[in-house]
Amino acid sequence: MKKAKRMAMLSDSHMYESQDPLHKDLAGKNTKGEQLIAKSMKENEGRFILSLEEARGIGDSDFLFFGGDSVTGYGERGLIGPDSLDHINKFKKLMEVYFPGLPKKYMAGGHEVGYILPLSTDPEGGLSEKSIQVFEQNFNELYYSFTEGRYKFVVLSSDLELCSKGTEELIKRRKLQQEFYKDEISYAQ
Amino acid sequence: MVIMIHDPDALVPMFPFLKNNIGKVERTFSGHQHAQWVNKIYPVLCQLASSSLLEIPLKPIFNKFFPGKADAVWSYFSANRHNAHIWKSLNLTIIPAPGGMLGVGGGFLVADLEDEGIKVSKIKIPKLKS
Repeated sequence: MKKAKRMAMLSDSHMYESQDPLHKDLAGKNTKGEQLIAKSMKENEGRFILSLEEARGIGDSDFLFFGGDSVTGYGERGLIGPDSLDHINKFKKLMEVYFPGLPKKYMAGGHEVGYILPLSTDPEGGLSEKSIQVFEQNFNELYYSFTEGRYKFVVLSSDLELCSKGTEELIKRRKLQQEFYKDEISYAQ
Repeated sequence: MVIMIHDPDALVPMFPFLKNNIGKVERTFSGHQHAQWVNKIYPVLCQLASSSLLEIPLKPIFNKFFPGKADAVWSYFSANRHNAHIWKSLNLTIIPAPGGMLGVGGGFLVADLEDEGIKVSKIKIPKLKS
């Protein structure tokens, strides 16, 4: 009997304190919410390592899928801060240490490409051409599809889909992603 | 067909197209919410946010944690009360954060892509030693 492919799925590790105004020196700030986030960020690398250890222990994974928000990034602006590349490299190194050579697929979250949410405070936050470029240079395409067994996976950027205002390039990118998933799904068997 | 999208809110503007192809979408996976329980209580949060009676005692509590943010969060939940219905119809599963939300529901998923369907198991991780 043919063995089913196994995919380990991890997400939202939110590692490393960033130098952006929202996440810098959180522990020294006063609100309970900020203190909670600061405590969590300090522990997140340890928790992510525990997840990787457990996933390796289970064994038999054919590939890894990471669902976004790997590192804090430059807060609401995504991976465009002075410390972002260092954080990306630390994250990818951890993935490689625990799963050397195993295929890895990445999905962009807001902390990779920039986000605007109800709790957002950064007027310069949100998706940008630069953050998308950094993601695609360091991980993989922003949106793509792949097939495993009888399953076709369509991986999309939620921040691109939710981007209602922005530069002409971003609006064009959103339209292209919409055409992409409509084609992929319409022509699926 | 399996849809992977970080923030499940993005499924809402996609839904006019997806509902016409619903039979093709076998499963959907998202992150963002950090734990499956957050997705489960989402409709309750929407109901709470739509109640003007509960708004009076709850908003000051929320503002204690995130000063000045309660209004934005309230309008978000009251405007999105149909999201849960959309997620259910797309068979959404949340990929948890290692630490879950507020330390509850964390871990990761293992999906076996069997011919008969995708078998998903949630794996808890041991507690972090301090």
